[in-house]
Amino acid sequence: MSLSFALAAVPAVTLICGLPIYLVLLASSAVAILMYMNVPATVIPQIMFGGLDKFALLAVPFFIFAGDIMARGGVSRRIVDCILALFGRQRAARPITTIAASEFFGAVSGSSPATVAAVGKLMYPSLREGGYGEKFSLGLITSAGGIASVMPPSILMILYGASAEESVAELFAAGVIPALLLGLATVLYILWYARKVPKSQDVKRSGPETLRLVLGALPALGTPVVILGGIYSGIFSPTESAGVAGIYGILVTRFIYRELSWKELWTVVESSTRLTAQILIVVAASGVFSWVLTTSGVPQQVVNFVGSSSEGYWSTLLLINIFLLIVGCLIDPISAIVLLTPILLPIVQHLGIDLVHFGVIMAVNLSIGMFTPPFGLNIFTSHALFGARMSTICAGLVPFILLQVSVLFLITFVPWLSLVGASWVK
Amino acid sequence: MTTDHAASPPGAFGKAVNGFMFLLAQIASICFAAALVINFANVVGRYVFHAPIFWAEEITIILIIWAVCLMSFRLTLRGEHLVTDILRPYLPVSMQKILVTLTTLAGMALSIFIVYYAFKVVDLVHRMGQVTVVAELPKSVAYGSILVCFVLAVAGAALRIGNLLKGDRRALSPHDTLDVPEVAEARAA
Repeated sequence: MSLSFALAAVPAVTLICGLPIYLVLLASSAVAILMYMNVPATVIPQIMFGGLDKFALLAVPFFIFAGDIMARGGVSRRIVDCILALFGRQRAARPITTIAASEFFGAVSGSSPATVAAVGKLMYPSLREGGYGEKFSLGLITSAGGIASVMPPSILMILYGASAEESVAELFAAGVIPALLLGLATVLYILWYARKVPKSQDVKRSGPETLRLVLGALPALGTPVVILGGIYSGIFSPTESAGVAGIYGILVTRFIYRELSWKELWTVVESSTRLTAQILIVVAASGVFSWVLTTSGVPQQVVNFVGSSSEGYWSTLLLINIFLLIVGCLIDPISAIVLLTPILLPIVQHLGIDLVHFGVIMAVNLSIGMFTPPFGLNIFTSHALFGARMSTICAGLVPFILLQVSVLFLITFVPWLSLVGASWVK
Repeated sequence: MTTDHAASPPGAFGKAVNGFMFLLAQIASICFAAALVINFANVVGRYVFHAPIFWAEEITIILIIWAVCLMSFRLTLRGEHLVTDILRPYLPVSMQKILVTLTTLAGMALSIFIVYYAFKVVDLVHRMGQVTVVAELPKSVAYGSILVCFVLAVAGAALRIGNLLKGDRRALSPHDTLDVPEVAEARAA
């Protein structure tokens, strides 16, 4: 059994058997170190610690906390109310509000399932009341959450940035246009679909009520300003901005909206700590796996294989996209991004693809995986939230999956769409 | 992102285990909250008082790493680690029990292996008296987090195997860790 085979077979078998992802990575690394590499196994704990000893990575727990506190503190309701008040008279106001609120909430939380829950819980009854079918409403809400994985601050982008040693600020900026494009494509489909829905223009608010709702939402809408404004004005690093967003979240939800008690606030700290542990233990283990891959020369072998094959730049990129879409259907995006970045990066560098652009491609691919059967996390979220049949949700998702895959290929083959954003902050 | 879920053992021993798990989760949460406060204090110190906290980054990182490692007991015991549940749901219950027991056992063996080497690292940096660059915290405290993480993982895995052998079928039920409060509420309803 060669080293390359061991580094492919051990993860495959242990993943299928259901070993926790971090142990899959550690088991594969331990087999390689003990059987093929002449190095002491003391490197494992040292590299695990080194994998977490990065200040940039701390943006993950702080954004998780900021997102969680906003989700529980009435922020999503105010964002939805504000958008509906402003655009409620327009055609297809309710589904477009779902998209706009997902973009905004994504810019606050960075979490796809949290966005489905926070926006979906408010918008699903409204969509059904507005005459939109069950399949369409479920498909829209479940897929709209995917935008949060691309819209800055995206947790996937932070993990990719830490793994690929790319600037998180550039990755965030590169994600803006693709995230808006994903939203725009969905809005166009909604406008086409809404032609056959008769009761879609009945959300009306008076002038003073609209003003009250807009003013009420201002503190919530300030979060993306704090996060992105802080980063791009050079005041904060992404990690510091995440921490500041967390404290701002406490101020807004505890003192302005008064929707969270101190006890509930502590519950948010506890759940954020648990989710952070689930994610960062995988990141630590992936550092060891990545080191083993690099030291053993596996990426070079993969590059040689790709170089010797007849596939060109675009066809390789196409194959990587298809591969990532399949992976996204099976593995959660956080595990996928830390597992695959060190494997795919040498191929991407060999082809001369910009690493920031590739970060966006990975995030969009894996965000589509979030609502693609059989294991898309957003599908389970919708199933649990609305009690809908899985088959109904999946049927409703078909047009949205096709739509977003089309946008994915546009983003992939027009690098300018990602790179123009990144160039603004260089 | 799916996990499987095992119930805590009942009785006095179960209460002790739950108490220990609660205590660790509280310490981890305190580390998390402290990291958040230090990070914010550093920003305020820099821009408001023109006095940045130089050790803030180093201590924040170590606090978060300790928070992650202290959660290892709960995540292992309750099967809350990220898992790709591809095969298990399609197996009969008896086979599921065998599979989950074997994977937990394999995880425990691997954790023991890492405990041994993590101890060697901690011992080495302790003997050499190494400290961190800015805060001058002993590096044995920093590296000790990895040792503690896997010691707790071994303990969590042993208790989980005990639960499985006692025939706790809840250990086999799929349980999605969605970390979205509304989902938990919907499930409860």
